[in-house]
Amino acid sequence: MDGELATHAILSADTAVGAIVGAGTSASIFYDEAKQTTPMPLIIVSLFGIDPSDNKDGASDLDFDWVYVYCYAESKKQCNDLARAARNALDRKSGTYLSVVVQSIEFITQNSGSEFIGNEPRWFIEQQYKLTINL
Amino acid sequence: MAQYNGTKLKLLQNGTALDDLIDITMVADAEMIEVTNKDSNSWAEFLPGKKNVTISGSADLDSTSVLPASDIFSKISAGTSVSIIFYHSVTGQKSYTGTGYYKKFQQKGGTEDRMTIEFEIQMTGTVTQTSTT
Repeated sequence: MDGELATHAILSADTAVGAIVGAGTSASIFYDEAKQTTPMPLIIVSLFGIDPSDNKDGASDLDFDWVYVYCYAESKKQCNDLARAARNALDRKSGTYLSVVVQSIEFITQNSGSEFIGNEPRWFIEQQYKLTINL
Repeated sequence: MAQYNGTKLKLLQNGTALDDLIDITMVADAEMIEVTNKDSNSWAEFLPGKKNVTISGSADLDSTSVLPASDIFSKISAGTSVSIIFYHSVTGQKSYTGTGYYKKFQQKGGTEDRMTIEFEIQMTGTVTQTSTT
């Protein structure tokens, strides 16, 4: 569990992602939602499922967390650049982030689209990751 | 009728629990000898023949566990028999005791997937059913 915390921490510390959405605590990276008035580009990180690995000895020692990363931008080009930077930051990353022990992160897939926010077209890319986490 | 969680089905090898089991299955199979003849009125007839029991299962792969996967491989390599107790851990339910040989040992680890083992035990000789105490 807590895969979204690790994901958020990795993205916030990444130089290439930071060059687009800002770095560290001022980065435009949010959990689950952002205000409609938040300036773009931005990233939203959300946990949407966990596959535990229980066995007959007890509760899971190894979880597979499924995390969505939503990249929003005012232009299609910037949206793709942000999604690429996010993937480069996360895919096959391992380590301990905010006390979350990540064995590995796997990029699964992504899809793109657009929507009107405040009467302006905005582009988004929705990415899916699978995090292998030790408990 | 009581219903039970499958977690309560367990396995002891030489008195030690196989660690990190995910699932186990026991199959008792009786061969049938066909004795159909012209007087059978078109209904096949059988007599019971040889009986045998196999136990299979899967577990997480951890070489530091009390009964690690490397131990199973050693048993296969040496052809060493093991005493087996396959049991429902609730008192009053059934346990099955006998001697067997590991006949299959498989390690699996797909990319970005859980690392597991699968094994199969061929029981030899009599398998006894008793009540779990």
